[in-house]
Amino acid sequence: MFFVPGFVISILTFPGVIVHEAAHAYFCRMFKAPILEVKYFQFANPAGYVIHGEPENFKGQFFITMGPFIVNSALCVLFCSAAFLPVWVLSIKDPLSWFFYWLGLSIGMHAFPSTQDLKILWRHAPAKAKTLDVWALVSLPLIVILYPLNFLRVIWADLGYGIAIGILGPLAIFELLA
Amino acid sequence: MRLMQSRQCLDCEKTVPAAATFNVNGRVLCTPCADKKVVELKAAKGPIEVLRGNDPTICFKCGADFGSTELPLLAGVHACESCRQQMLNFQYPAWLKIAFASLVLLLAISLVHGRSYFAAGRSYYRAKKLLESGAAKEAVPYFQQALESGTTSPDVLQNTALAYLRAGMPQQAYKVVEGRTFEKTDLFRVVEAEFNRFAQASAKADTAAQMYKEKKYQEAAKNMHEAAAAYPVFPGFTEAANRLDYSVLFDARDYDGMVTLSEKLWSRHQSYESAAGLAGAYACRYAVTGDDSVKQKAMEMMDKARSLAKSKDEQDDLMEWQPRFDHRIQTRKIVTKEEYDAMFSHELTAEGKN
Repeated sequence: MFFVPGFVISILTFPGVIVHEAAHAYFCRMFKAPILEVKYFQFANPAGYVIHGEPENFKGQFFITMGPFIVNSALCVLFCSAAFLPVWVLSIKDPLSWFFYWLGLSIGMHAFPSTQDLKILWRHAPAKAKTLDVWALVSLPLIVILYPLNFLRVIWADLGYGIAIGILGPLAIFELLA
Repeated sequence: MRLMQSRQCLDCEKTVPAAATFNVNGRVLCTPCADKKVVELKAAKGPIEVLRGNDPTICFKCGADFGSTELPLLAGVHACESCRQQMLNFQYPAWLKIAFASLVLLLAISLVHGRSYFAAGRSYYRAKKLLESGAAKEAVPYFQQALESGTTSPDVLQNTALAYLRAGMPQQAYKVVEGRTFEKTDLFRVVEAEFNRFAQASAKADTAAQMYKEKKYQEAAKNMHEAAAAYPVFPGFTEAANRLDYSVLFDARDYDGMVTLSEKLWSRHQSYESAAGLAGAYACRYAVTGDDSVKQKAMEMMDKARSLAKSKDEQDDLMEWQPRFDHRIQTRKIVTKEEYDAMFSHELTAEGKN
């Protein structure tokens, strides 16, 4: 495993950072959580952030935390699907397809919610789950999976996730369509 | 006069504006003391919780001082009405809206750009499934569609070659892989084995051709049948084996056998070749028996052969075969092509019927 400074990764994959923070802001707006401050991209750690107040309900909290995960993952699969065949299956030298693949991977790589966001969700989820709140029940396994994965970013778990959904997603789609 | 709120630093005991204080692990400190404390805590590797001190009379966002008027709390911070509305009705910056529109546009472009690849990829996956299920012939058109994308993928090329080979189209298989080098993967070995199987069958077919030239029809037919058995999907070997069987029977003057074989081939596959062959066999039987009903059958089959002759090769063959057939019917004499050519000094144009 080789070490690449975080800011280099952020620069190389800046569209993903912007999409992640914009999705946060979007869900804050949707669930009426006041937005105190937004940084869509910066050459520092963290590369982007959204400081916001509490939403009105747990569903809002769930989407503010998981929204970027869903949006980034979906965009990653879409962009990678468009480029998957020429890049991986047909081996066609098409720079535009490689550009779309980079864009998809960049976005997919920044899908993981931050540890801070997961902590906030975790603070409320168990109590809500006891009342059989659907969003709390959905969030529990996601937190359990995503929390340790966040720590594995040092060994490129985020890139691994981007590649996995950027390859396995389109592969599943085409196997299904064939 | 504006009167902002002030706090006393618990370390240096100086009185400073509340907005310039920090709460470090529960202690209210001025900025320099807070910085010092954080460094100390970091060095001691102890827990650190730092909160910015706030002044309820100063707006958190715009910093406007409202004197002695305390501002309402929003999400734990004091904000003036204008900033409060901004936080509640958050607006994306113009550049982000443009970036979002660009992203949507790029997505649309990527999908349109990938359209031809979608078609090629879908054909490839479908072809692969068909090939794996043993339907190589059905897979071939889908592989051809995939090739039209300009693919250089070793997997696609080798699978296409494999489908061609298993569909009995070795020449097309060769064209696909011609001039290319591949890694020696499992797929490569499967394709190589299939090419070798065809090469061995071809060697048998070459031997058969040599035997035919030497007029050793029986041995030629035997070798060609072995070639057909070794590579049954290639129709060329089977057709050649049938033609050689026909020659063997003609050479042995077994015209009944010729009729039986030709009728079998005609019922199996109705083509110009099988129609002309059966017409020739009936003509031979008529020449021997003089039976008009057999002559009638021969004439009917020749009509069918004429209607089935579509390709240039078939048309050329018909041009050569028709006068020999007519001669056999009119004279009831059975002569070989060589004898006929010698009699009428015709040019040798094609391999004819007997």
